[in-house]
Amino acid sequence: MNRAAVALGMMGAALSIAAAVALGMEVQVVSVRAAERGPSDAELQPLRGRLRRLVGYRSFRVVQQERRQCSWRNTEEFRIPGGRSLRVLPKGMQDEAVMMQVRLLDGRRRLVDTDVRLRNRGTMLLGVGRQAGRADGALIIMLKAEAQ
Amino acid sequence: MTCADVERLVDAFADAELPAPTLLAVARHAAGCSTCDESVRGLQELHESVTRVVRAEVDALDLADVWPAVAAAADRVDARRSWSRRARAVPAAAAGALAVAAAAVFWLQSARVAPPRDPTPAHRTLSNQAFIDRLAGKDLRLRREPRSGTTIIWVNATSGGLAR
Repeated sequence: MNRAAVALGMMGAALSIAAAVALGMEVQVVSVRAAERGPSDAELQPLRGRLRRLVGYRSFRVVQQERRQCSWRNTEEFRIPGGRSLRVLPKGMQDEAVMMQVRLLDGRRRLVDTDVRLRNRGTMLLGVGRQAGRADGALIIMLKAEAQ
Repeated sequence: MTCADVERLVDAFADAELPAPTLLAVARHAAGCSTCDESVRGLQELHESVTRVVRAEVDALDLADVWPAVAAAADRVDARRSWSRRARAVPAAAAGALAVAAAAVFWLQSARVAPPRDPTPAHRTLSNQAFIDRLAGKDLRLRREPRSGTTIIWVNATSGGLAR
């Protein structure tokens, strides 16, 4: 009886690992226009305070968003407004964190090339532009990774 | 537009979150009403001072708690080391007695030291915590919000918005 239970448990664990490997992870990329003045989108209201503290701008509007299922060790390319692109290569999981290589490209030029470990279901940001107060507007790219 | 309307809208007005016609209406009313004008100006000043404080806090991050803790730990280690140095400098004949005394002092000192506190905030897992293992690029800045751990990699481009 005990052996059967252990075998069933191991099978379940193996199946869930296999399912996780097969499903990969979901990546959400949201491009946000930040400006000194103007309204903010309602969907960004919960994040507005955090964005203000991080980037200094006051107004945040979504200009593009995309959600895509990515398989492990396969590079996915997301188009970003302004002719840029974001390449995400999910590498695996470690301690509830998703390991990824993230590259922000401007044509063929690499603006950012990084290896990160982002907490599962967490969001990290990439900003392009001048710091607030020095220019009118910047582009904020919100990258959310969720392993299944 | 009445004073009551302005009072209701003044916060959104200060943040420039109102539609253009409403912004204009509030501004027009405030231009002709000293009470509302004072209220709007006061709130704008408050917002600006809050922004300054928040920026200063973000720049300072939470290192203020880290360094005193490191300094206190270093003091404790230094204090323990000083006892062992003194023991080595004493002639061999007195070494045994001093070693016993030093051990007693060391034990007493250790007993008096408060138990270590919880690990620093860096050990807590935050909802958006990100560890940057490698980062390459030109003119980059890394900022982190302490509360959620949200990390931003900032590319300082001359034209950063939507157009290149």
